Amino acid sequence: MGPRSDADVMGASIQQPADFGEIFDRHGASIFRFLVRRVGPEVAEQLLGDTFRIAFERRVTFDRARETAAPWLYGIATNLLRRHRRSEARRLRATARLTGGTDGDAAEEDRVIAATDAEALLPSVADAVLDLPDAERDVLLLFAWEELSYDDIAAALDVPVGTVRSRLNRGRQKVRDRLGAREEEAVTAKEGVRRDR
Amino acid sequence: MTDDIDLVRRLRDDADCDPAVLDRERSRWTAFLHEPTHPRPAAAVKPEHRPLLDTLDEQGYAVIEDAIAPDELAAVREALAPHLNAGPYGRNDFEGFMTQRVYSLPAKSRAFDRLIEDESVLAVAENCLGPNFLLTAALAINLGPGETAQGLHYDEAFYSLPRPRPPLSLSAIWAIDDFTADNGGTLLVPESHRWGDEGLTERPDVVPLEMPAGSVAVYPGTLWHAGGANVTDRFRLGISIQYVLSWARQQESYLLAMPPDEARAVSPRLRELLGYSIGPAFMGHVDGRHPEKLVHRS
Repeated sequence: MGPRSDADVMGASIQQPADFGEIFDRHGASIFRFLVRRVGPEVAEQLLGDTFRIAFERRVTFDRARETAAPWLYGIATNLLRRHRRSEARRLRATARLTGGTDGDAAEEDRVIAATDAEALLPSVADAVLDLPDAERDVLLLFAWEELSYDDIAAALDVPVGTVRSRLNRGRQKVRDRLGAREEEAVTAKEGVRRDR
Repeated sequence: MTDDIDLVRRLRDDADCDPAVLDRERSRWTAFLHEPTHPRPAAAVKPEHRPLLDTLDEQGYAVIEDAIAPDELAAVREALAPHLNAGPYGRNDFEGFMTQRVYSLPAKSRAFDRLIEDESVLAVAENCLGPNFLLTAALAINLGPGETAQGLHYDEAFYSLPRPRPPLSLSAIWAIDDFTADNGGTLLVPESHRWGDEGLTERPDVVPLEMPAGSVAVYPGTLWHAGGANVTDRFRLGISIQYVLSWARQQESYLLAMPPDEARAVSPRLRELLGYSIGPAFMGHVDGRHPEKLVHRS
């Protein structure tokens, strides 16, 4: 007999709550990582507990036709994140500053030249992501960060796959529009700098 | 143009995923899951209950016939007899001057547990009210000859929340005697569970609840109804078992009627319904602990 599926474990945990520990063992790390990525370690620790508490309370409602509980847990976690947009914004902007961007003290000329580098675009990407409606940001980050399939995102958010596609397309387009404007601005500025020399 | 997904991915930062936090949370979980008492999970709807729930949703009430066996019915009747022999009559028009009411049935005999814990009724209640719902009233109503009809009302009007809305409570009326249009079968207003706050704007169509002894009728606390008039020369016995969702105050104070020493003698399920239970996340705790622990304290 092979290992039990999540659906089997979930079913058993209705009568034997201790079995639910196996769901945590299997998915706790990825859900924790997802939460840290979105809102940082302090809030993530709290939301990790909340995600599994809610999942435990609702375990009877889990659709046992699904083999894995991962999308369902991502869905619960995503709903909880809705109340932590400020933490999310703080974290994303900090990451963008640390990973890319430039020192605020650098000369204007250097900054403009550096802006064409991908990493220098990150603050703009962060702003674009933060400006997305919640529904589009959730889909974009489940796709780009968690690398979930369209089907899994649809299951997580309880929406049709078509909705996932359209939200992702809209979200990506908005990010691209922001980058297009930023790159255009940078190129113009760069040319301006060259002319000034 | 730089790939947008690649750029978004560069904003993914795993540096703060401290494994110690995960371990701490895992220990917390393991301890929690091994606690002996957990709130009940929400029930899945069993296929056999689906038609009943559909009827309930559509017309506002549903009847299950042959819900209890004749010997169980006889036991209920026998357990009630001493209370009815001694029992007083109603103190006002609502209770009924020609009607005997015996309240707080769980404190009076274990014969009533069969009705309170009826599997089908509990499944309906769980579906309507969510998990962790409670018993709110359990009373016998012995409608005497000459009793007049009640005014139309809905049971949960005392929870002052705007309508239309989902119900907060569910009533199960058990026919211990046959219910007929002549002996006071409850007058129901079909579909009135969906009404808003405007209430009665004109005289509505009412349907008398007619069902043979051993049946149970269920309807949400939002359904308009009234006790019917008994124009026969015989009493008509019914038992009303009412459930309420986990955060509303119960009509009957079962923790006083059934203190821990007495509650120990009943089933764990009945104790949960009486209020020896926790509703999410900590409704009903005693000094920070599950009330069940008081029951088992020697």
